[in-house]
Amino acid sequence: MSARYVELRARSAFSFADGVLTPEALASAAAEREYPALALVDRAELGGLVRFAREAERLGVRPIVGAELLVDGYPLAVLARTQEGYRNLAGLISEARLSSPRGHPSLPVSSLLRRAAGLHLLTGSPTGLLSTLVRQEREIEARRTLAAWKEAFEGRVAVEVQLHCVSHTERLLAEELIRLAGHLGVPWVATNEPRYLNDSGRLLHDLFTALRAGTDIVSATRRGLLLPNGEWRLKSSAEMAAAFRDKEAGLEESVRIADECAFELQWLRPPLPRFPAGPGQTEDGLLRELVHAGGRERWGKIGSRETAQIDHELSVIQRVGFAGFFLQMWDAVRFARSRGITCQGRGSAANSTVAFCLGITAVDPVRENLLFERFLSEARTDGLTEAPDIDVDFEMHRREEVLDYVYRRHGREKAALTGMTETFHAPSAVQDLMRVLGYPAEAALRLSKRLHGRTPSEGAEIIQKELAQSTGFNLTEPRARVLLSALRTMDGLPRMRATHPGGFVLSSGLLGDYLPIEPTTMGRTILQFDKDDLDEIGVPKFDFLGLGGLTAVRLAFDAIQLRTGKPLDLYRLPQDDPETYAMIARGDTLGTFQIESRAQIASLVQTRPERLYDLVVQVALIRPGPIQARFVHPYTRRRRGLEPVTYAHPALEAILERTCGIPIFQEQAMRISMVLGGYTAAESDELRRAMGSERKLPRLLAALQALRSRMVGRGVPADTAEKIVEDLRSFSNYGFPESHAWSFALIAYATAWLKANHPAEFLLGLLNAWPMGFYSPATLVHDARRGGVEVRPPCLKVGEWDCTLEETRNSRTPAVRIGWRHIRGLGEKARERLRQAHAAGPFGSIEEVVRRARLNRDEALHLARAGALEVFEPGRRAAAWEALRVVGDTFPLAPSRTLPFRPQELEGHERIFLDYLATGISVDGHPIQHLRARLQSCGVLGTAELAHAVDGERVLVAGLVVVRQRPATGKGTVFLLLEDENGFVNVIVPPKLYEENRETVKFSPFLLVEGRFERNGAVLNVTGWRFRRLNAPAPVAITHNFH
Amino acid sequence: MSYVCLWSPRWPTAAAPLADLAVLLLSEAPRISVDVRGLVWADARGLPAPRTAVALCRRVQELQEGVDVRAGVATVPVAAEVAARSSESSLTVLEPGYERAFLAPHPLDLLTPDPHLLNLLRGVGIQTCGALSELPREAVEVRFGAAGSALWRLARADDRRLLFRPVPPERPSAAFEFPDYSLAEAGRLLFPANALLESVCTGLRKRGATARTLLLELGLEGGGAIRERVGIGVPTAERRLWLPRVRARLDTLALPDRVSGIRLFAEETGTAGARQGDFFDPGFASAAAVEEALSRIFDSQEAAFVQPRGEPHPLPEARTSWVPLEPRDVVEPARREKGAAALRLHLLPEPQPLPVRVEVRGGTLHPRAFREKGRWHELPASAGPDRLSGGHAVGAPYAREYFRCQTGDGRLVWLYRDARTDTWHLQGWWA
Repeated sequence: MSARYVELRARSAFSFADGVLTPEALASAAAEREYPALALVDRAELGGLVRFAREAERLGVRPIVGAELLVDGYPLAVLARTQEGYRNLAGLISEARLSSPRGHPSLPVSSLLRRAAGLHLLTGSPTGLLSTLVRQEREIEARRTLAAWKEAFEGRVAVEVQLHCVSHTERLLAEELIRLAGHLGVPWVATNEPRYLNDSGRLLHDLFTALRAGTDIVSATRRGLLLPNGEWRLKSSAEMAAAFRDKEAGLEESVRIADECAFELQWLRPPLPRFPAGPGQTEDGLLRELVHAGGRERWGKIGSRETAQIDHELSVIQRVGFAGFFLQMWDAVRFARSRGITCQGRGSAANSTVAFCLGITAVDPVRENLLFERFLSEARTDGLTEAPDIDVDFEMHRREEVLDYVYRRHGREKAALTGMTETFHAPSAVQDLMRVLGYPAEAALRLSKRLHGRTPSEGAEIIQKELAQSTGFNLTEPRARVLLSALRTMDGLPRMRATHPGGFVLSSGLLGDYLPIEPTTMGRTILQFDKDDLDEIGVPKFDFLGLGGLTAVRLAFDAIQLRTGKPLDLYRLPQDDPETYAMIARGDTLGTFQIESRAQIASLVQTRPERLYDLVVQVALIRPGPIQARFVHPYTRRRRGLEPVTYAHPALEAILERTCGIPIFQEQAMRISMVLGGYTAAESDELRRAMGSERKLPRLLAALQALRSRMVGRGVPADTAEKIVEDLRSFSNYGFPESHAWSFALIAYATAWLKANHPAEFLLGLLNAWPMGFYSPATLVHDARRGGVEVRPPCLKVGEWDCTLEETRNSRTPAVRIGWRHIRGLGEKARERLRQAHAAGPFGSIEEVVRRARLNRDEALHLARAGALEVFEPGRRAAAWEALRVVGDTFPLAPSRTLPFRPQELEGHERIFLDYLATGISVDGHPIQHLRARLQSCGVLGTAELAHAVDGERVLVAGLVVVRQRPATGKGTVFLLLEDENGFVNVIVPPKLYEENRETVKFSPFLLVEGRFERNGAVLNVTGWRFRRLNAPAPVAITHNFH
Repeated sequence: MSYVCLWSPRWPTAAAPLADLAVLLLSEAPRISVDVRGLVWADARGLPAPRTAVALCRRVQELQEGVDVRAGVATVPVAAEVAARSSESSLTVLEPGYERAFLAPHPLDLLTPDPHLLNLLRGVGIQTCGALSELPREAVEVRFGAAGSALWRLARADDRRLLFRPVPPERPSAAFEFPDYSLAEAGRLLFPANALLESVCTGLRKRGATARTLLLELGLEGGGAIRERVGIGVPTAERRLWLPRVRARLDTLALPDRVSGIRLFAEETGTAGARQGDFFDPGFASAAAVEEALSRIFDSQEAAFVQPRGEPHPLPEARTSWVPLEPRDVVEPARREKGAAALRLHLLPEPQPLPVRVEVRGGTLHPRAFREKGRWHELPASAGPDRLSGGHAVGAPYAREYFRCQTGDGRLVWLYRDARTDTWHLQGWWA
């Protein structure tokens, strides 16, 4: 049966709040309605295109691409008919986005007419220009407009007619448009502009409409903002035929236009950037030259193994045409190094000897026997598969310099950052919907903060079954029913587009003509596609990431050099420092890179690393993949010699020897497939790529089944093959590449070395690089103080914006002065004024500080509150009064010179809590200190006393909750890290008890726990039975929650 | 002129549990009140306050064995309260005039201020009543708002709160007893009733009040009483208007026993107002009277003048809202729009349900005839349906199919089918 209708104006949720269907749902609905094709036409947007096209093709629906554009203030739609048309479409969207205020893309008609080639124009909905002219009875102008469009588009125009059973006027308008089209010999086409599928979708669309208008649903209804009926749904051909009875020509025209529109995902792939190689030189030649030069620098003399590997890699790179790609990355790294910015390649790029020789990565793949095919294999560049990524970490605070360089080097029209599509999660969905439904913000917050990490539909279930009762949320209200109903339809819907941390896409052509570009609020430009989309269509990304760990290391190195004159290099640290490994084995790794978490510390004290490769394993071991596969405990037991190292097959010994017979790295999985399954490198990489994420599970299962068959076919016993496949299955949740672990282990070791040998500089680096890492500055400071570092409060006389080192009586151990940057409430402007004023000379009094830095009343008070002015006026309150006086506070309470009373000075615990409030850091003690006497009288043990507790004993512990974790691998168990004045204690909250004590455990800043003490080697845990909130003044935001 | 404040650390911080105790303490002081913060107040004004306080403490200890109750006596409530709550001794009596000095060294939290305000004050180093009271009032008011100002007054022993509810004024009443005889006929009660009426009405007029209901209470010789209410349409304090009504009631009253006394209460009273008249009566509607009448209308009804405003609400009956107008704007007559349609849509105040016969036209159900006032009207032509649905998100869902129909006699009517109930309604017509 030939199709009678094709919808040419389908809108997805990528029209952000003007559509409620995911691209996949739209394609699926089209297939259900037996559409042969469907056009995705979002508002100046192609973000849903890759997902839509993939799913539509899978379901046998031909995807058509288009977009609705606002031209001279009126909406119309264009569809791509050819590759040239697609480029014009993408280019028009980019132009509209880049030339208009953010969020309001529009174009002049001249731009549209200039780029009409390959496009088919639909004249727009009843709010479009043509309809408006007809409605206003300006027929001559309407004819002139349509004629101009017809000429510019060379006849590829259709007058769009919509019938939504809205009013008699709509029918009259339709008649007039059809008459006008007939008069000018232009075909007319029926469209319905669907935004949803059914009533529940419409309900959500109504709520989104109110959200978009920034109002609530009652006002939106009263103001007539909502669509008047449910006719804007994706209708079947039969429904459209009924609506357009006696007007079949419009339906037939939709099919004809659809037949003429083509689309291929390959059109999205921009040409790779070229690197200016110099006269008479090719990119491949230049790359070879640079690699050999770099190799000589790395190794001195390039050996035969190295030469063979380099030749192999260069030949692959030449065949797949990626020489320019490597050169671009080399160029960025060269720029960074020239500016003294520490950087290091991470991820699979560290498998490449070429990248190593170019200085992009730091690990020698030849020496460490890393697999190049994990990074790049020829099978992957067929045009539609995943492209290789080179991820390079730069110092967090200086990454912007590199991004600016890339923009300068390539031009803004050829470079853009990758976008990230943020979908609705339960908290954001609840907040948005409850606002629209007119709930008070407090009520929304009460629910949303208890739905962390949940999808909207899970949120609806939790609200209905648990939260409604516990929070007093009235489920019988109509709007509550609406809320739950809407939440259940919001899973996976995009909410907004964000900027990827550093993924650049570069092109030798105009990038916006391939992948639409839009501006960000930060002045950057981003693509409308996210990382997965780009991977899907084979667009290579250049990831320039910011890493706080590198910044911390750099700052610490600089501080050491300043104090000792001794320069340090990340890669030239002594790799066998016994002090460092002893510290790591004690689990004293708080603040170090990657090995500082509660789980890492617990593992470190068991495995007791002794060399760098142990850290490589450690970095990869405490990950979801190995944890879920239950590899951690077997590895630990084998590492400690408590269990013999065995191999499922003799051939595995060579592959798994370094990891005690346990597969931990992706490269090991690839080698297993190559050795036991006889896979080629490219095939093994296909298997590895199926291990990318949970989303690819079906693909992984199929790949593993194939591997199992291959292994059995090559004589591996069936049960052995089964066991190996079962082990590899665990990688579906992301196992680490060994190369990546190497890169991180180098930084982990550097931070550990710094902590063991230069604790003050280490703390300085961490505090000046903050925010980063796992712990708050307060916890880092307490840890450093316990380690003997003297920490001094912020001071306007001797301190600076950043933390600084100061001499102590012991010339080898400097003190750390907290920088002004940690004083809360000081913004960028205050920072700049303080910096300039301080640069002109040291401050001598509060008056000087306030006057020279032109501080306002609040800024001055923030400084006083933090104790930064105490050096001039003893007592924070007295300093605050003096600051007020100088500010010239016009209120009469500001004293002239003397106070009518002497402000009472802060007592010990008051200072501590004020420190937390003002800076988040207390150098005077720990907030739990002043509760100690009371706690002791109740039999509560401190962490120091806990070391003497007996395994299995009932204990009471109390502390400040510094970390809460509910990892996916924990099956509902919650792990807390309590801190007191002497150290930390792990608290394990079993799932059932967590559910019973959720409010207390989740929201108490200070916690009293009764439970069973457990000692596992050097690891001290308390498994909690009972939990009570400790009543103490709550410090502000010092807990890190990871759920 | 002193207040006694009683406090015990063992008392709950709530009023309800102390309410019973308060009743029992009335034996020692004429007025007792309970504070929500768990304080008991006794009004010792005009009494020997220290002795009253001692008596109250003793009484409390009798009623609640072993309770450690403390009393503060002062002419200013807040001083009495702080004395009770801060002192270690069971009785603290403050000399009049020294209340501020007494409060000065005490911490501010004894005044139970708002915790946020207390934190703010602590943040600038103000922790005692004395420190706060030293500051200029304007400064405190500017910085800490009304709450700060109130606390400043308390810190200065300036406490104006009313601890005891004012006693409502007694309603006018008058009584007459027959000590030597009794009356068997109700009609003979008219004479004393008239005298009592005069007394009650005089009392009402003195208060500037009127009565809507009087309560007539007849004491019976054998015990008990008969109570009869006498009402009047317009509240008044005029004896001559009340007398016929009292007489009429006495005439119809059947006495079960002989009457030994009579009493008259003004039961429902109100404020005496201006005479009610006809607003459009030329004799009555003087300029002053009109102004007064309008003022009363504005006062009681707020928006006396309104004009319609169209809104794009999807439901026709919800498209009009009434916007209040200032009286000065009313003199401007509404302007007619130029080029308005010859036919105007007239909406019924509420859509009117009616029976409709239907037929299928072009694959859609159309109305063929409707019945109004017992008569069927044929609909030879109809256009539609125009669909209108929504309201789910606000808990008032609707789904309608509208048809513009022409009746056999040429009228244009607007019908709709409620798709949720499958009923038909007339929304309006064009004329």
